[in-house]
Amino acid sequence: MAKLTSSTTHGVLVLSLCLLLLHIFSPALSLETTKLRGSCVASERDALLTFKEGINTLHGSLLSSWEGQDCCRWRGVLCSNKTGHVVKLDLRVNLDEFPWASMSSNISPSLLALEHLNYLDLSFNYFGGQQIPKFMGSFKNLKYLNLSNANFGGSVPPQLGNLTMLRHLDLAGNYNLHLVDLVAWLPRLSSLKHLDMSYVNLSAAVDWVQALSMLPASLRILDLSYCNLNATLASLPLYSSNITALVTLDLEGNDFHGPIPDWLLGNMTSLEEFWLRGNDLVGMMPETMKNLHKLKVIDLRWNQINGDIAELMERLPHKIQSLYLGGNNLNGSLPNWIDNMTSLSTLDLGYNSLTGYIPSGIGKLTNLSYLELSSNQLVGMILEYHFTSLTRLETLYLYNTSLTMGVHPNWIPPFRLKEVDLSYCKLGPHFPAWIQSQTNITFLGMSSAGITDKLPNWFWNVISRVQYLDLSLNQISGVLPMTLEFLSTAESIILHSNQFKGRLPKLPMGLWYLDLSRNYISGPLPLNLGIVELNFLLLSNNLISGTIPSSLCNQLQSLEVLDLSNNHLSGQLPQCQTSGNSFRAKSDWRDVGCYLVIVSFYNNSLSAWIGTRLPNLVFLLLKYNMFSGHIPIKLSKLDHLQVLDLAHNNLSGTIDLSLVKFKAMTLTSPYTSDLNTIAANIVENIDVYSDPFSLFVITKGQILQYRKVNIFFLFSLDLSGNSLTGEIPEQIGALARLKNLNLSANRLIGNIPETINGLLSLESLDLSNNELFGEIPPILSVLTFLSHLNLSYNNLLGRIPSGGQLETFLDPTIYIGNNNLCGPPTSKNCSGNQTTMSDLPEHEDGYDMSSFYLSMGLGFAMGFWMIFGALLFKRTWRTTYFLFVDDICDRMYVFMVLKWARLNARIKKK
Amino acid sequence: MASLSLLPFSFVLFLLAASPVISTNSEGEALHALRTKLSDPTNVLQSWDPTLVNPCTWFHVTCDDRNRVIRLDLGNSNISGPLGPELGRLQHLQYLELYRNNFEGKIPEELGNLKNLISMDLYGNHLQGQIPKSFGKLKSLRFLRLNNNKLKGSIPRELASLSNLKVIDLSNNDLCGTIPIDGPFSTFPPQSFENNSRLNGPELQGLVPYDFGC
Repeated sequence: MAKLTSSTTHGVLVLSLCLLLLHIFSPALSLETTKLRGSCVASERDALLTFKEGINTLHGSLLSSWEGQDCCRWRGVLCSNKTGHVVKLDLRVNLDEFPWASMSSNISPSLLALEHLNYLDLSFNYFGGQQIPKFMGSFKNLKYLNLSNANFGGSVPPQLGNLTMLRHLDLAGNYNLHLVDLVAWLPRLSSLKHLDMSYVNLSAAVDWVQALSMLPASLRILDLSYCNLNATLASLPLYSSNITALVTLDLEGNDFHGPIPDWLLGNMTSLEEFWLRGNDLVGMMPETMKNLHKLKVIDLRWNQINGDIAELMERLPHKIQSLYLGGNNLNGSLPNWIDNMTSLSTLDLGYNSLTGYIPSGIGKLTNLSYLELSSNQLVGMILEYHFTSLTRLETLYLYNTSLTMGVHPNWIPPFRLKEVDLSYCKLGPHFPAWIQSQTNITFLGMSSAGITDKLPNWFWNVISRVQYLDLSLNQISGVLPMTLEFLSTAESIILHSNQFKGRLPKLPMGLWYLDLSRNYISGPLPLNLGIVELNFLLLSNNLISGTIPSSLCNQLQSLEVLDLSNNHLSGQLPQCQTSGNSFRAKSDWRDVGCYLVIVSFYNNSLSAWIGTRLPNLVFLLLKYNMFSGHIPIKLSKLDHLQVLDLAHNNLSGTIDLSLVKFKAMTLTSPYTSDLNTIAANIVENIDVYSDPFSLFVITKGQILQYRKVNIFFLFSLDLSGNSLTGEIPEQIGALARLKNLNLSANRLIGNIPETINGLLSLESLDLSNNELFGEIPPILSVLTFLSHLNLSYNNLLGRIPSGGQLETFLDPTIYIGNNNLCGPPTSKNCSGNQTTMSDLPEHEDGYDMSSFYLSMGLGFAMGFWMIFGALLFKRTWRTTYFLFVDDICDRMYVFMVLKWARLNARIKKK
Repeated sequence: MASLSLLPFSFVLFLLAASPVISTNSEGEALHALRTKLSDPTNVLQSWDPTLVNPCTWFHVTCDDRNRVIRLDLGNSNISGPLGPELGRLQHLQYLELYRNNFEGKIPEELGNLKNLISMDLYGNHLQGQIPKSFGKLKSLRFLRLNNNKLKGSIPRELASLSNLKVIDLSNNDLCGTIPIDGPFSTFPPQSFENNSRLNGPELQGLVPYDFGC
């Protein structure tokens, strides 16, 4: 999206430059409207000058040309060539010419002196939210009034209704207009032919239905798109009103719901265009639609229209030219008689639930230029006859259907396509030869199309105008050319998961996205890639060797995502200079230095650290390399770092306290589940080309492939498989957003810190294969999201705590290799004087109970050892104690013997 | 030689290319359907993107190595709303941890379809209605905690057939009738049933109907 806007901005800039030059070098052209005969009426000139004074022209505007006596020669002013009176005032601002044009002051009522004015255009000026002046209603002869996109606010003065001659009223794009009382003025515009209120919020205008029903019969064009209207379509007063001569009705982007009623359009026989995209309409199109003999365009995209497509098409008038039904719930198959609809030039049925074959009749639609059937469950073959007469076809979207292209290898299509997407169709195994004739292509999608062929030699020449190229997920082979610079319009090239060989080519200047992952690209990275605007460079799973040249830094200044994982790179990471960045087109959040957000180098042989500041780094994946020594403390200064994977290197030393203070991984407010700003920006870009980019992360003991936005919900710290020593710092508990913590296979000692309960988001905890000792802290049970735990092969001891999530870990192997651990889920019973805990299941107050038992156990041990320990170490106490016990025993013995003797004697007496 | 060494790699590639990229993702759809009815003020479900090929990278969801959902861990998450019947479609689910939230409404019968379920922790919610009789089909169940809800009715006798059941907690509800004594119930302590004012002690088989007083 960002790319799109930037390129259009470029276009606009160039265009505006041309315009400016035109204005400078050919004054005749700019005076075209004023070169007519007739001199200016003095009173009108004074009125215009008064008007000019009220306007803030600080940044220059066309009013600056308003000098000299003959106001008829001023820009934007047109006088009648009979009377000399000013009849037309066209003060529309060309935003390319005057991007800062400002008209914040009052509009002078002096304009009323222009009694003969019939045309007034103030669009694209900036009136700072002020009300439309009341005197606008006093231009008795006004036929054309354009106040669109001029930032008027407040309510519309009812005086506007006095403009009974008005034919054209445009209020579009004044977001701040607050319309409550439409009936007061709108119905009185009795000559109105064209009414445009698009992008004006009408949600507060409760009388809009009534106002519409009172509109004059002269109305031809009604644009109410994006007006926040929320109603059933049945409540539209079309049937009962006078406006039966409407030619264009635009209701796009509102909240119209319910079905399209039968009677609604009953007598709208003049209707040619009906725009309803992006509402919530349901049900089938009414049969009466067939009576709209003049209907050419109907747009119902992204509604909930359902039912059989053939039935729907039967209800359409034969002359229909543009049928937009994408993004609904239509089912059934396309009818064979589709060839009757000879006027069709646009057919959009994508993103429905259509089934069956594409009928051959479609090949007879000689006027068809746009065919979109993507994401349906269509089956069968596409053959030559489907295209027989489609000489005008320019756009063909069959993405994600189950169609098989079965055309003859020598077929020469009758069309010249500009945009074609056949991804997830079956095109292979041979590379489709018919593409060779398609030299106008700007968009080519053939991802996952079952092609297992060599890329033809002609291919690169044919697609020389391409902007978007996606051949991913095939088995296309061939050597990439040394340079792709001739693809001068290319913005995205996606060739991942094929069998391309050769070196990384020199790339076109404007390229934004390059994905060559999972191919056989070999050799070193070139010193000069020739690119400036590249945002994504994805080269993982290739055979690239050598070092990463530092020249890359200067060439890849816009780079956001760099994935070089699973290659054969060695040496150190480049030392990028931060000062040399003069190119900073986009910005705000990118303060200093490189723009890199994601860096993945895992599984190479890199050995030296990133020597530069990468302030925007969110992901740093350096798993399986040859980094050694301490973990550099400067990593903790990366404020946005949320995934750090240094697993399986040769790192040593302790885990420094400052290292566990990654700002992005700590919780800054109670519910910081939002993306960080940098990540959010990337996500916006990724969503455009949604699927190709993904990251593999090991968590929960599995390799998971994170895609799309979910990449940025991951917070992970993986230092496993190194030689780290020392204790796990207590401060690790601050990393409350961490979802994955893996410190396994190191030489860590000490206890598992009690602060571990601070890792509130933790889902996966792996501390296995270290030398940790002590008991497992029972507080571990408060981590309610913990779903994977591995504490095996340490020196932990005591009873395995229970409660909360810990009770859901029934696999004893997660505790194996700790000889002194006992209790469930291990088979080893805890003997008596070990720390005891209840065998009872966890209650609501389970944690309190366990701490009670814990302290009871501790109390017992304490008391026991106080007595027993003293006896053990103090001989005199011991002697006294045993003498005392002996004495007691003796007394007891004597007492018992005597008692027994007496008892026997009594019994015998009886 | 080089091409030989690439053979296994290309085989993997072939597998990658051949694997269905757009597969029917019924478990993801089930979870997504569940989500749409829930209120999630702390955004714990925000990663549940239904356009992904499977739900295995959704947080709080865990899959086995064949990408089948085996865990749902959403304890203490401030979630409110109904427990959708869609949960019953997670055929391979082993752990259903939804404790201490604000789930409300009935426990759907469909949860009885979770034949692999080992642990069901629904305690500390606002669940109403009866304990479904279909729970008698949960043959793998070892932990069943429904305490601290608003459950009514009697304890289904079908639960006595759950031979693997090690722990049950039905305390702090509004259950009635008597407590079964067969099967695993012979070992459960009285605390598992306390604070159900209308629950009348152990079942007296043959003397009093088990749902006496309901």
